[in-house]
Amino acid sequence: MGLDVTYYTQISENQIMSMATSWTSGYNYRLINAGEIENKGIEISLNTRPVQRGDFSWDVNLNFSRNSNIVKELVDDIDMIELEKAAWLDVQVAAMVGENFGSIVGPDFKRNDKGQILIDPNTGLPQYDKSNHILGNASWDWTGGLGTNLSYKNLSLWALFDVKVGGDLYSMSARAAYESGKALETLEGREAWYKSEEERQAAGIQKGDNWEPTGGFIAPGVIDNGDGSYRPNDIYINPEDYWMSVSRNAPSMFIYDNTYVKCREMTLTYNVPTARLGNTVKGLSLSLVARNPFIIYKNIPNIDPDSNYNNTTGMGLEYGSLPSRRSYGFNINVKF
Amino acid sequence: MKYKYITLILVISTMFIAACSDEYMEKMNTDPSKATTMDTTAQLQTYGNLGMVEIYRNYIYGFTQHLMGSWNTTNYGGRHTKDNNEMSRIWTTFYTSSIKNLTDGIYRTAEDPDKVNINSVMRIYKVYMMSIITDIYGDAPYSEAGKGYLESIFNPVYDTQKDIYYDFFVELKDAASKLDANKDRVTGDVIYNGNLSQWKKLANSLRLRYAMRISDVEPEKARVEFLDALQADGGIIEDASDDALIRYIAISFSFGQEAYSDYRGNSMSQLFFGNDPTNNPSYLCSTFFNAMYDNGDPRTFRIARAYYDGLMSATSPDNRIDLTQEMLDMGIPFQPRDPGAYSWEPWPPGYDSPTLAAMAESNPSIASSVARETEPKLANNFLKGDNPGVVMTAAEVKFLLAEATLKEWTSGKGTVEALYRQGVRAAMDFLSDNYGCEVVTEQEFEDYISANGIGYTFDQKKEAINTQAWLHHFTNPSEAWANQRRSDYPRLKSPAEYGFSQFLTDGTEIPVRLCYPVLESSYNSKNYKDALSRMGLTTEDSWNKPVWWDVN
Repeated sequence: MGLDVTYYTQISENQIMSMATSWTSGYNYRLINAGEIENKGIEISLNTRPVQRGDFSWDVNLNFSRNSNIVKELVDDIDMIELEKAAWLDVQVAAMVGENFGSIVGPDFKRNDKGQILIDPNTGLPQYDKSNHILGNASWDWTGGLGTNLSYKNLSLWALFDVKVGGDLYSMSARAAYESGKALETLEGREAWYKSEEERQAAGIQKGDNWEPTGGFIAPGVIDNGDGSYRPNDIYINPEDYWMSVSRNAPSMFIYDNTYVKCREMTLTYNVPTARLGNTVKGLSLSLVARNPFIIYKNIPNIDPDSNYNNTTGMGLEYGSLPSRRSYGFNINVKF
Repeated sequence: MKYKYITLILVISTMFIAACSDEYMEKMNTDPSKATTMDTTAQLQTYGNLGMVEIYRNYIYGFTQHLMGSWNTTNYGGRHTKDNNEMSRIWTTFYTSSIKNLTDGIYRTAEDPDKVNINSVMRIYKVYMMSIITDIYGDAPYSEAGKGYLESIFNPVYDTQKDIYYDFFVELKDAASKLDANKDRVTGDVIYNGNLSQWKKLANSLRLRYAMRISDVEPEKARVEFLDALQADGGIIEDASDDALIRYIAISFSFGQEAYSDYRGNSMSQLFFGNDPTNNPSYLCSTFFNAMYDNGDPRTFRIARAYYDGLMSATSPDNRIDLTQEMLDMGIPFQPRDPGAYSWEPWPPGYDSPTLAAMAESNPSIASSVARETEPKLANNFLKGDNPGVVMTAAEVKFLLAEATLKEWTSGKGTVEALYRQGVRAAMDFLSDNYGCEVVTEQEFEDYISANGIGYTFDQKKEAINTQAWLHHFTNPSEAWANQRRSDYPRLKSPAEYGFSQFLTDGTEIPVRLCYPVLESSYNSKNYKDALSRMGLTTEDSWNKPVWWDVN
């Protein structure tokens, strides 16, 4: 049995970074010696053999790691470094002072003191606050892995599992699905709205303010009564308008906790007994290998949790990435 | 043992010899392939790449109600949708290309007596560029802008608009006075081709424009500056031959990445043409169309045409079929879009076109029953790469003089009525001189002007002058919006009054400025917050707070 524990803490000062700068200086970026970044964490690795009985043995390797990468200080009175952005949606992935690397920053709903979403009584749509909000963080709370090997005589079965917990991912694929009405959840209210529209057209009234819809989608949220109290929203709107508005202005609707557990590899190996081999061949083993055979648990809908937009330090965005591949193979290993 | 000592001595001495010095590091950090200075004449190059003009189609033309109906104009400007990315385009592009280069060029030529002309011309041009920025956003970095490299200023202060305008007058007067025909030749000038007397006229005329701009908020200062400019040496732009127009060349349209750094062709024309021209062309707003059509304006069908675009090329306005005359002959009503309306919503009643029916016999892809084709679009004359970029025109100066005479600031240039007539005539000639439109005949002009006189009361005259200016400024959108906000004419109604209030996600009032880019709150937070607090805001920017000179 073996146990390996590593604790590390490292403070980097004056790293050379390209930092986004106010355009009014005439420049988009400047190279600076950035303040202070603290990287610390712990890694634990445990190898055991819980069972050994005769020809049967079971090995288990566990590892666990937890890391935090925090910006302690930057330059002047700047409070964030932009790592990556989806400018067309006003979303950035940034390193903010005091937070872990990889904060997802963008606009959000306008909310009241209780955190409820405010609805505009004129349009029935939610109201938005376009200033920067921290909507999530792409850093993992912890990651780990489990490798396990069962062997009996000449046969062994090896499996490797991967766990990642707590990172957030902004799924722009989901955003696009909702915006274009392809997601199942966008069906709510459609039938009722079409019925209401048919009634309006039958009554000969033009689209506009003279018609009170008889059905449709009600955006979740509250309306300000003007005197400090709020009432639940009751305005019927076209679900298409709601989803288009929300897709363009509220990234928080599509930021998911991307915790997942995957099986990365499974291998079944048969070691041909040396007695069967001749003199030239010293060893022969045959194995069936499956890579990425299945996902045990994921929280993010519809897409592969390994998806991302780029491979820089600014993770946390995803848009239409292809799923990872599953493969099956056969290995022959010969020793001379 | 010996070896140990020798090794130790060797190691210590190597460490001393190879020690880095600051000087060594600096040399290493300097990239020899990049220049730190450049030819100042190149820095004068006027700017108008695609990134800089998109704001006009998305917002400004919607606010002035010249255009409406295409997705961009209606979604952003027509239906008051705040999009941080789109609103910030002029801020992010002007500062990083125009202001930076002009500031640098001015700095490098400031001490050189042989470069006084290029220096003065750049100062005049920088004032013009900054005026666009401040008229759109309000308070903005001016005195400390563009100095990231020169003075390491990365968090410039947002000067108040009042200070900026006051400095404009000082700068223009001083720069114009320094122009000297005996000194350096200004090359690379695509406006006046180095003609210094015209630059003087432009500097003085710009002072007239800015003086009128502040005439509501500081009437006395405005009057003083106006008269000072009127009497300045060199004169003002009085004739169309002195119009300040940026000359572009005819290039083919492209919306790829290369268009965002291509300054050769008129990007505004490209924008009018659109990136999806058959489905998303530039439709006219009913406010603009009716202001011409209902008053029998001879410019109506020189500017607006009804086209069938089913056969149009994707890269140039060829093969459009002009249905205007047919519609006029058949008495089919035109359907320009009300503020807030898309071209497809409400769907217009169409008609069956005999012209198209005849063509359909040999070309089955043509549909003879048309609907959106009854919505007037911009005529092909305005979609050409070599259309000029408008800085200032003689027609505008005539309108400014007319209003100044009305305000009794001056009487030396003629009567209000005479200047008004000259302005309208010049505005009509402007179209035929620069866009290839058919010349407006004397008769057409007389018929129009007698039916559209200047009025009798002060307000009627002010309305007539500024409405004509608004019609003229349709190819100079930043000036159109600024002057409409200042003079309050023509009176524009919010899209809410046309039945679209349920779609106006960011307020029913027509916005009176654009918001600062949200990222400024991170990049330059202290100054950004100061600017917001001067508008009475705390954390969130608003586009309904009028700028300093916009006093109603």
